[in-house]
Amino acid sequence: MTLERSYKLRILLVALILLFMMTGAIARLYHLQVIKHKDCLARAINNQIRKKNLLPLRGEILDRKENALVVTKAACSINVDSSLIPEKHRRTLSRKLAQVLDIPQEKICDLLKKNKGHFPLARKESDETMCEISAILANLGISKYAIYPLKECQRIYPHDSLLAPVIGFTNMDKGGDNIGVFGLEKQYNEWINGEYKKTYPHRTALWQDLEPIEQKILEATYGNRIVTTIDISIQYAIERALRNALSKWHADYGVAIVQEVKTGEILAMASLPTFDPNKFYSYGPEFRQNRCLSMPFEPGSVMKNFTSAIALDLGLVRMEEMIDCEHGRAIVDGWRVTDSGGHGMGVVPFTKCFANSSNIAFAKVGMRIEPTIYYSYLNRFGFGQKTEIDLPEESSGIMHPLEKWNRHSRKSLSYGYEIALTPIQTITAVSAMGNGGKLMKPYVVSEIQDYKGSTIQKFTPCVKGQVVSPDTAQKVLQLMAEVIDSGTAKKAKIKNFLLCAKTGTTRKSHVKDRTEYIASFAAIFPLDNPRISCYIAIDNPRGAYYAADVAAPVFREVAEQILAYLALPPTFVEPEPTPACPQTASLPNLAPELENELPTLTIEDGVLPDLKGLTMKEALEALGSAAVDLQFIGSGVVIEQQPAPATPLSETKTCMLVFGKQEPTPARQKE
Amino acid sequence: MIKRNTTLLLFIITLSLVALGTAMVYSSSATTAAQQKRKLISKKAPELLKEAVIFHHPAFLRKQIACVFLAIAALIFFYNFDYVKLGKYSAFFLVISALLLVLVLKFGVKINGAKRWLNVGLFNLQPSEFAKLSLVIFMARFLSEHKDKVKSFMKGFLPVLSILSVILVLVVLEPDFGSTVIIGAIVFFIWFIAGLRLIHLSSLFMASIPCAIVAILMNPYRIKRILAFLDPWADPMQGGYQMIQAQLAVGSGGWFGRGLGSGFQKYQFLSEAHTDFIYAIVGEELGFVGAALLILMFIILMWLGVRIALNAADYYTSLLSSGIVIMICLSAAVNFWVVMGMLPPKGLALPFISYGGSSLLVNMSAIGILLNISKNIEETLYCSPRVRYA
Repeated sequence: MTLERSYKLRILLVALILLFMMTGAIARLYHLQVIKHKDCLARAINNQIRKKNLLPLRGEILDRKENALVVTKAACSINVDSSLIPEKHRRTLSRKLAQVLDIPQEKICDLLKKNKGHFPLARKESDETMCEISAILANLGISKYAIYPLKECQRIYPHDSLLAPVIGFTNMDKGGDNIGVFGLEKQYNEWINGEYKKTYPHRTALWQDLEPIEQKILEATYGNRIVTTIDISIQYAIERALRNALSKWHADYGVAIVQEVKTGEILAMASLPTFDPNKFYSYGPEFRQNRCLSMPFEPGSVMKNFTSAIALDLGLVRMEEMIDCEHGRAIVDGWRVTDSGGHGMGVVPFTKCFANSSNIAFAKVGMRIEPTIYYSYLNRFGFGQKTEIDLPEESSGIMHPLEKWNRHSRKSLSYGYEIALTPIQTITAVSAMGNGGKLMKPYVVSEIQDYKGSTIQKFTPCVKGQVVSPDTAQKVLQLMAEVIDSGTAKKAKIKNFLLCAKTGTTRKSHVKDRTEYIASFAAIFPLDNPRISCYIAIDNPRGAYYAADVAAPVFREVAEQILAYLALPPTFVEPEPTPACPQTASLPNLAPELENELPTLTIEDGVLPDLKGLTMKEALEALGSAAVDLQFIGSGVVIEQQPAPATPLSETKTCMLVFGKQEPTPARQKE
Repeated sequence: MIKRNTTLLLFIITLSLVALGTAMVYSSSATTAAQQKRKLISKKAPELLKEAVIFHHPAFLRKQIACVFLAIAALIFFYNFDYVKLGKYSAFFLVISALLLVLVLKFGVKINGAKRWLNVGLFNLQPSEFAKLSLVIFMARFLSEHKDKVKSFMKGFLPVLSILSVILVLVVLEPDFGSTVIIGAIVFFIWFIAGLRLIHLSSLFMASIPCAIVAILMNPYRIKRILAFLDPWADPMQGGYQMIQAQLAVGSGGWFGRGLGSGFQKYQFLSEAHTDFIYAIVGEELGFVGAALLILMFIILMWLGVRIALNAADYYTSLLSSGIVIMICLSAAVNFWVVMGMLPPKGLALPFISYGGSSLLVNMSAIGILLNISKNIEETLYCSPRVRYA
């Protein structure tokens, strides 16, 4: 049986209809995909891609042990679309918002009334606050788009006012706290601020990103971290001591700097009273400054360090030279000079003049120096110039040019007047004494790291020049050691350590009646291997004004903590520090006491004698015939011996002696 | 004349379509599956959601692969099952389909506001698909058996019309307007081939227009759909959204497409990307070359089917094979037109490509029957001539 012809035709007709539909589909496909392709693709891409604004993340500031001094936290700004808030709810809404936000109700109500459309209501609020606001909106039946959050970042200073003048603070831009206005925040703003970036990731219709943000773009939004040389523990100790002193003496201002002598790194820098960078706007400009850099003042007797350094370097004075201090009152070259404290001295060695801070002696020494040479030395110390520390708003101090000097200038300069130094200039110059006469550039930032912690740039110590010879520097240290030991800074004496210091009591010359003082104190320690320098100045103390009373105890408190914190080895194991210059007539003779305390041991007793303080030759003599192998390490005098004294000789085969720098005690010298 | 390799070619075309379909189902469904997974997680443990944002999940693919195996089994079964016997049971199949359609009205799973599916564990059964095939077999059987009465109004026209109306009313009640139209169209074509009087056909066509208008007016969303079809840009975010997204998807493909799996419209821009609008994703990812090739495969399938129908030994076989070809190719063609905005959108799957077990199962069974017929024709033409009818 075969199919009818008409039947077959009908099948073909139906097939033709289907074929028409299929080819129609292909034609349409061609139309869409080839002719309209560009248009469709552009529209589709426009649809599938979202613009995403990326906020910068300001980098952290760390201390030398990488503790965070400043961090950045995510927060949000609270924005209002007032067109979505019905008038009848305005009052209730502003009352409830006032409870959540820290803004008075009337102000909110006013803002809602005045502004049409979108405006920011509050900034740097937490997500929790936003949640509460959402709940309020839901309660009142207002659209949830009426008040909406926008991300921004907030700078948090976890230590509040600690180190605030150094760190500084930030202002807000559109993305939150990111404009450094002061301190390190300003100085290194370009390094830490990060960048505003945009990305265009593919999205789903539900606004989820399909691709992670490109690593390169993301990294550009992260600011770098800066690692400072500040040690937060030392900073804390010094600020506490300084704050206590300020309140004890009802003083106006106080500054303190702790510096690493060999490198110029700033370990701590305090300027009180200060401000809280978290709420910097509630402090006046007098609080928001770093007086370590911006407050030059006449250094007073601290200047004598530099005068002696210059005079010693030029060979114009010798350590043991006898100088007539004329019992505290004198007229030097037609210029009335008085020594403070009423301790009029007669003819005493230069060391004693320094220790007791005789203005008369220094006026005389100052007169020996040629003005041009004096001036060039002062220039080499960096006075009258910025130290170029990496902090903003540094003052260059005041030093008169040579042509402005009068015939009394040298005398005034020699004990610290007619010149104004910033604390940072002073400490940098003092540190040079502990660094063999080399002046270092002070710095606060040691390293810039990217957000992951890998180094981008390292800052190394920078020598600005050799100011005086190493020998001179050593002599000045000895002079300064004398100040602690027997001079004006006896109150700063610390058991078992040899420290060097100089007090300074400046009588402020611009104040009427000249009744205001600045008590200052410069120190370097330990003497045998100077590591740390410290400068403290307290402005206008009331009740007492001598640096010895006001500043020295602060130093002592801080120095004890620093010594313990850095675990510096004590200079002595003996309980008493001993004078550096035994020739000084006024020194109490400690020798008998020492001999009582430490009976001398000799090899005749069959035990190992105490060899501390002996030179290599003396040590060999003391051991004499004993059959002991000796090992020597270092040079100078014995500072350590192994095994300990009084070990029976029969048990001793080898004896190790460590030599180092130490003033031989008078007791030992007698042996 | 028919060539020896028709059966093999048809089989290869079918398998290629199924393979391509499976790949496209994964590409287009992974995002929706992930979206559902996320919803599930956000209900159970919202805190986990932030950590693992997933964009691809193979949940639909797994089901589809299971269905493919089931469908291949069905194909093999019908390839070996005597299609003459199938015709004898066709009334029985039709009754079962009708019962299922009744059941779905009562117990159906509601998806997007329509009860079109019965939940049977592995997948949701769509009775209208089965009704489609049952109706095709029944029509072939009934019209070939009563060939002389086809032109008679009372004995040929009315009985078929009444049975057809029952099925169509049941389908339209789900509501499934798209399936109703397509089933009606398939039946019309078969009927036309069988030799229905043009006067009957045209009067039926005229009569169906007011019915369609009533059906459209009854549901406001159908009016919206038609309005959106006429001008999709009038309301691009609501009514015209799906059409615009589908056309953007196809248009952004260009000559060679964005690459398999690399499209972006499936990220919830295009809803139902893995079912009714999968062809838009094919266009986006495979481009003009791939999408046109897919249409070409359907044309080849149609041509093979038509050759089988033309070479069939009897009217029943011929009507059955042309019915199957119409069922598959008309669905495909309408789907292409809908996706590309040439017809108003309706819920209609693309055979072999779209996700969905019922559609795949029915279409593969139909191909199984067609292969069986083709095999028989080849055997009678080239091998031992057998007398099939006593």
